[in-house]
Amino acid sequence: MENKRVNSIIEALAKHEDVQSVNVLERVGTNCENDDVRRLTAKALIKKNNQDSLAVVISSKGKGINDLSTSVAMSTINELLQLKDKEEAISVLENTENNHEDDEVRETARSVKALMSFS
Amino acid sequence: MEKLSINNISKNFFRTTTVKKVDKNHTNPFGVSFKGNVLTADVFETKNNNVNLIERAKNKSRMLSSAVVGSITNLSSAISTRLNSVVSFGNRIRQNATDFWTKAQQTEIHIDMAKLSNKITSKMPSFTGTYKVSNLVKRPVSELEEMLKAELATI
Repeated sequence: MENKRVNSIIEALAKHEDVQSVNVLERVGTNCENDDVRRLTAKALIKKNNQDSLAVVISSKGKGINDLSTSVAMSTINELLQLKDKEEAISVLENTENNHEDDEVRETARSVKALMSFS
Repeated sequence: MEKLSINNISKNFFRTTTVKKVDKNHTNPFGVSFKGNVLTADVFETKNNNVNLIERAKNKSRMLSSAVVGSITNLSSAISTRLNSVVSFGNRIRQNATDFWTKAQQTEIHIDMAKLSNKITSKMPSFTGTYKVSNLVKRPVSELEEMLKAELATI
């Protein structure tokens, strides 16, 4: 990302303790038309590593691992695989696989979960 | 028919034939070689001819002057050749200078001051630490949201 200010703000939101920071990242970052911003936002949400932030990148259609941009989706999956503590992520993936209404989202969650179990 | 006798045989009968070399003397009456054009003149005049000294001196001076003139002609042609090359070089330089000047006149130098000032101002907060992550984390989320929206609007 060329804009260092955007980088810094997203990174600050990732580190912010206020739970509202997840909402801001979802509302502003994941809906941005710029691929780089969406990728950075997904990375920030995974960095938070809690149920709410992971649900955005795993269970939301068109966001995170379900993004229409292949580079953003692959980057998000890669970030999930690099997590040291995968417990929360696997839990969210299982919930999505079992309970999500969209078949495509469920299938993607199943694939990523399989990948995470092998990593 | 001539009778052949021993006495008549020459002493040189058994000698190999010798060819007497006759050196052709191409004499230059002045002992000087000229590269220039020499005017034709009768230089092999016999001494028997009663030519007075004045006439001979005239011939001599005429040949000398012709040689000098020939040398000068060659020299001037060489000089003119060099001068021509110098002149053509000068003309080429002048042409290049003219082309450069024409190009320079047609070139428009444009500095986007708005963009430049925007870049300068964008660098300024990094000096003050406004956009340092450690400082941003201390700000309220609502403020960060507004800042992020403002930045994304410029992309």
